[in-house]
Amino acid sequence: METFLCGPSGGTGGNRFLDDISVDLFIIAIQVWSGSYIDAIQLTFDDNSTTEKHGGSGGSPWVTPAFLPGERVIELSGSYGDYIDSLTIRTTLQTFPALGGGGGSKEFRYHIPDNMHIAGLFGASGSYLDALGVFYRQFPA
Amino acid sequence: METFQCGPSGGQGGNRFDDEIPADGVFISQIDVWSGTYIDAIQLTYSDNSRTTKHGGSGGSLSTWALNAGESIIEVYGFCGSYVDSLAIRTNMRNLPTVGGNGGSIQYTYRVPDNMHVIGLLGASGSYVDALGIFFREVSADGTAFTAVLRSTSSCEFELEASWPDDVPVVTVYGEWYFDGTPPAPNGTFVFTTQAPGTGPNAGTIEGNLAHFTAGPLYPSSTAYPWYVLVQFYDASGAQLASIYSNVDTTACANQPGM
Repeated sequence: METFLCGPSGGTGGNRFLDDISVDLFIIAIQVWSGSYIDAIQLTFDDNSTTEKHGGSGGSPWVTPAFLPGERVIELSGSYGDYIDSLTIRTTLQTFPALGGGGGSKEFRYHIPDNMHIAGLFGASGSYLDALGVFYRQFPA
Repeated sequence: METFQCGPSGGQGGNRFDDEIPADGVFISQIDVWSGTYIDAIQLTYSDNSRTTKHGGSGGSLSTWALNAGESIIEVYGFCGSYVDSLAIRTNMRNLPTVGGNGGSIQYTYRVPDNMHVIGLLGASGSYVDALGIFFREVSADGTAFTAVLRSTSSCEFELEASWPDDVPVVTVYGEWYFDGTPPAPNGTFVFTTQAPGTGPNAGTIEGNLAHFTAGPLYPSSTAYPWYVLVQFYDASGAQLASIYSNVDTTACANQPGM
């Protein structure tokens, strides 16, 4: 299964991370910790495995409802400066409320075709989520 | 045709830009990049001869790449920090050389699926290109699945191969040959028309979704001249399905003796 990638957007700090996308799994939920910035993000896949929590220990937790069968992530957007300031998640069925703060002078948007899905994330993190990009591929496999 | 987007990567300065996406059927025909220590500026030219704004400043040395018929951008990558430090472009046919400087701590990559191609850029710019991302859409929107490749031999015989997507009912292909000019037609001198399938000295053949033409031998010359062919694809009812230019073949051959 060929995987494509786009990004990242964000600041120059943090340590690089790349989600393991070697197995062809689908995201079924996304957990985000946020306040003035996006503090951290973590994905849950359809085999109930999770990625590492990318980011720090702060922020208020929020999690998407479990996705419906066939529902998939097709867009991540928001704003960034030195960190990822805000994040909006869109699936084929719904758009969730924006998370994070009002800062960030630059807008980013990762919008992929409807017949594909965002399969994982890469970027950089430390105390916050510094930078964010996406892995994406065909759906279904 | 829906357009998708990714990015940008880069610094926080500069003014936002989003290229206006051209109509379906229009594709990128040329890329101009000015660079030095950073990527100073970038500008795209489309197959309808429209151009984007030059995004960036007035510095840097210019690199120009013309894309061949059927050639599409499938990946844009490099390094960035406060600015976009370096840039490399990969097409479905070749890797273009990396331009820019050696700085930038962040590696960025924009890779699109095999049936899609980059159709415009987004990001921010001022004195330099501060940040860069892409717009992309399906190749089939843009007629670039039609191809035309022109080659010449040392004896000034020419060969033209034109192809089209499997699901397109092409039955006749015409080639209008031009000498001593570069597209769009009618730049240069019109030389002759070839037809496939056809009869006579300038006839071509069709096998499957490939048309093959030979022409010449033309006339060896002491000067190299650019040649190109305007290739037109027709269905059984006589309706034109596509019209594309071949690559430009610059070769020491003329359309008449003694040039």
